[in-house]
Amino acid sequence: MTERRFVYLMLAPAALFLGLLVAYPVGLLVFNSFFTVETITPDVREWVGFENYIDALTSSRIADSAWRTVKYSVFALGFELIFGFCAALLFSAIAEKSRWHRTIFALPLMVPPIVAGLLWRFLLVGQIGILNYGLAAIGLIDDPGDIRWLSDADIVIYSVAFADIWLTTSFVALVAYAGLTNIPRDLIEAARVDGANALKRFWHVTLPLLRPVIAVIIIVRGVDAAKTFDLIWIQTQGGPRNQSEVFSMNIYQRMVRFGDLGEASASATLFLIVMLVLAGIAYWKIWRPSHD
Amino acid sequence: MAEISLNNINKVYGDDFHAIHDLSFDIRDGEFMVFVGPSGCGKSTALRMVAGLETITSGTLTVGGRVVNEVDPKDRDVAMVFQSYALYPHKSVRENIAFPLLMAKVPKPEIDRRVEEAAEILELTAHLDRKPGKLSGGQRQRVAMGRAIVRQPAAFLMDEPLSNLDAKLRVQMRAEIASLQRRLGVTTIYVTHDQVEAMTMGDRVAVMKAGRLQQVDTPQALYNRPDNVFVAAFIGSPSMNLYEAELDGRTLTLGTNSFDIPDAVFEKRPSLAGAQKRPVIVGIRPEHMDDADVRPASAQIRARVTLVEALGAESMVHLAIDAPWVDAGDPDAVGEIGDGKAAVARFSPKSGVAAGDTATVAIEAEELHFFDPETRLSIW
Repeated sequence: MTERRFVYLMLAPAALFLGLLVAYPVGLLVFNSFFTVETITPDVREWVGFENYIDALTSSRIADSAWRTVKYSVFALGFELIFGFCAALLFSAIAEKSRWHRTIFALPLMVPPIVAGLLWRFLLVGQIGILNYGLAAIGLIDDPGDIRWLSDADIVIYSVAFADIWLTTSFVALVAYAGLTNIPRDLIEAARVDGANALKRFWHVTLPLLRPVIAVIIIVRGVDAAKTFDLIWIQTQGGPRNQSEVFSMNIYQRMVRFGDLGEASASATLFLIVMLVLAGIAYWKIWRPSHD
Repeated sequence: MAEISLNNINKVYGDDFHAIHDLSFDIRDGEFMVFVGPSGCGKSTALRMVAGLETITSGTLTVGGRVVNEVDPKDRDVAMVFQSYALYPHKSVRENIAFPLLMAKVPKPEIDRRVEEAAEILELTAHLDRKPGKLSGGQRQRVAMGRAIVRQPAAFLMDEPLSNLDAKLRVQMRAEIASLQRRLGVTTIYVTHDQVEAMTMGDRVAVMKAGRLQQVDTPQALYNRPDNVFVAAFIGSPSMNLYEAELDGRTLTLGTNSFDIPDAVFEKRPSLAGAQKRPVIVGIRPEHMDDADVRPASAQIRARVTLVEALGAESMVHLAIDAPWVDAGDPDAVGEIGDGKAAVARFSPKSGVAAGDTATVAIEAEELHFFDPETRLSIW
């Protein structure tokens, strides 16, 4: 047996599983998107061509949910990056002594999203939300009922992101910390001797060298945030008046509530394409090796 | 340009690790000073304290008359070249060289002019727009030099800048750096573990061991008048051969050999005169031994030849001398050639000795070094 054949043989089980569990469902999804097909009777299908896609692209509810997904992702990712990098820089500043801090900081990573969602729902919800009592107690708001985090249509999409930020800032911090520890100390010291203050060292040396790390975080966390379902569902189920309904939730509603498997498949296919394009752009724009 | 002065500098890490002990000396304006010593001797730590990258536990450091103990590295007006070069990998050669000027808020046209000028001096003009990753080791080294010289700093600090280069390039860059420094006349501290670099480049050399300054002097003076056993063995290659011996009157007994010491030695080292069965450590440089058949001398010993390395212009002859061998205390010494305990002699290529022979070795007795076995200091 040649080495090449042996390699193929070794790859075969993985390829088989991937084919069975990824390629087949994705293929079926794309296939279904060209038919009118009900979720309860998936074998009865009628060819409609691109009609499902046209519907999806012209639906204002889908467009709104897509826009909300963007707002949610950018908001969550933005704060995760800021908090995560600040934490990583702190860990790095106290170096070896940060072992326990890092461990404790990573604890939210072990919390299931459903639990985190429930937890934040209790913190935020209506009149009984603990957060508002805290804010009232320190005088930032007059009455615990002043901010209706989860029922004010204008802010709900940001409120539900708090749980996401709380849950995954530690992931960003750990990855960023790993990136920071990989930066040769000589480079930072050279910049110090070359006359750069802390801010300039960060801007001219640390940040550019963290580009690959930032790319990983944005791709992994961005895709993750964009497809969030459970965390928001447990807090608001998309309400009030669909104002926290993100794209994945819209697909779910279309398929499960309205039973429209064809249209849901078309939306899901569009979602998949957009995510692939975004990841591709992020990869090319940021993940270019800096040692060129 | 400036004078650098270290006064009783100490460095203590944590509670107990005393890395530098009372380091004191002055580096004159424009001088090329080399810190040399085996690994862990504190030479890099000393340099990093001058740069401001390590805090000074006690003592005062002045640069150009200004006490800089508490001054941030960026405000010390020193430029540093790192062993790893520490080039910014994401910046082009031009941006790397320009970086210190950019930080100093030098106007753009002035930056361009000075970068071009530095590139010209270092023959980097053709590579200005490439990234460091695309350069050879020697070119990277020159970019690191460029980043230092472009600033026109008060002092250059170089931390083993040549040790990542291959041997041939190292010899070439050694000469280039030394001549560049002479041309620019900037006070320079150069750290190395390589005594050849120290000897060839430095105006003066500070030899350090275990955090203590052993001796600071010109290369020739270190070679001719080492203060102690360590400096004697560290300076010179191959190392000085050190043996326990006994001096009685003018007769030196080295194992089963003995010979007379000429008057010149007693004139140079008056405290040796009138010794009675005095134990000494005697030091013989390889170049002061030769085959007695080729170049006879009044002082001769018999020794068994264990190995002959013919180098063409000379032969390194390893000799088993039957006197107790003395360890100079260099942690890096692994016996550069052979088993380390053999004496090494630099014989004329005309010598016909072969391994296994017992040779008669002529010693230039007036060039012998004598040390006190207790204090390990030179006897003068």
